[in-house]
Amino acid sequence: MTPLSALLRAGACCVLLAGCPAPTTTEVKPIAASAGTATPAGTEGMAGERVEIPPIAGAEGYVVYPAVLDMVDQEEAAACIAAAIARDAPQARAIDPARFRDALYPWMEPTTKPRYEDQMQALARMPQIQERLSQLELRYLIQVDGRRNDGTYRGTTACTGAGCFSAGSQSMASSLSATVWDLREIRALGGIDARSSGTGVDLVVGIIPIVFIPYTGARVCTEAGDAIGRAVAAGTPK
Amino acid sequence: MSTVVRLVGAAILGCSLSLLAACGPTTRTVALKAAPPMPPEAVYPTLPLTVGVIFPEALSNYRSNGTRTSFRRGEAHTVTHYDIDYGDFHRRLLERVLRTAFSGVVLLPDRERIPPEVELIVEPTVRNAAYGGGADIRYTLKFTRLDGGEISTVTGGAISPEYKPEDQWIALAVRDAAAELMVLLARDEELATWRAQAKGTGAAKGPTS
Repeated sequence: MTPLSALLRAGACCVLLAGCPAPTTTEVKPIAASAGTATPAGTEGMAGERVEIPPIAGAEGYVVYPAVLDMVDQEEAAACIAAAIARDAPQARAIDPARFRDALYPWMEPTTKPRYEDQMQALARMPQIQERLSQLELRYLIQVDGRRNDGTYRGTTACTGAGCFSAGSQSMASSLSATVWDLREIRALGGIDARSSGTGVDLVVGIIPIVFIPYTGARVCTEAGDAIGRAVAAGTPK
Repeated sequence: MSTVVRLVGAAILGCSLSLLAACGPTTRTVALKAAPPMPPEAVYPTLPLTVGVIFPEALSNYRSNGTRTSFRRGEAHTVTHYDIDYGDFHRRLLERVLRTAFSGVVLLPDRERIPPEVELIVEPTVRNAAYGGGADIRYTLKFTRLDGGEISTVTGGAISPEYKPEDQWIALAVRDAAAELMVLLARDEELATWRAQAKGTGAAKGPTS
């Protein structure tokens, strides 16, 4: 439990005066496609600027899969992208990631999953793998890497005759990248990398907490989810 | 207000605000009997070799017990006492790995009587199986020629996080450990070199040196 989340829980038991969003800085940039193929259009920019990914034919089957398995942040990031696609392109055909993982066992487990592009290409070229993908009717792998990196909590507490006072702050940062693989053509189509950072602040006067939280996770989810959702919607007939 | 009262007040407030984390370790006990589920059927380029497998007796009776301390950022450390007896699960799992990886598997009691179809010998062992702060499971497969000379030793394992229920993270670790063994076997250069030499020379039992 992080300091701020612990404080939030405490606040729920007290009188919560505020749980206000703190300012964040968010950047988005495209992830290049495989070498030798066209780089997706789009430039690095701030939140709200569009990063375009080539259209994804969602009707031919896609799976959203965490880059690192069995980690909370990664599963949340994958769920964010999956929800964005379901919202923007409900007609696309999603494959259950657990089914995908089982079907490709032992190649998509935490310790065996391809980490680099050439490893992914080598795996996708295996005839046995292509056969399984065909059985799954799966063409696209949307690999999601979500991370949260909170700084050290720094705070102070002081009590005087008038009562006690506490103040603290913590830098918080989130990143979410999503890379789209065409498993039929065995190449990365490109993707998006979103990063957001901010500083959380808490003040406590007596037993009353006032908390400002930079919702960095929500920001990167929105930016990356919108870009991937648009790409699937653009390639999937309604 | 006296200094003592102020310090006590600050300490109490500091402890609760700095995160309401427990001030001492959390202790818990993991004692599971039911073995984890077997991993799914693998999609795998089976190696065209017949291996003789000698399972040490200790593998079938392997029992994990001990104490492990884990740390998580922002929280007090956790001391886990574990006592896990999966019966012969480890043996069955490793036999499954080998039957996936190789075209032929012959179970042998020892090296005394080796059937002619066996090309090399493998001795599997549990190198580590600790639980607490996630599961940490590691297996070793030692491959030797029929004359006892070593070909390759493959160690594969996994550490799973503990945020899921215990039976789930143990199942994930076991599944992942078996997966790593299979993938390492497919990529093991010493095994591949030995195989190429054995097939190239037409030696039914492979090179002896």
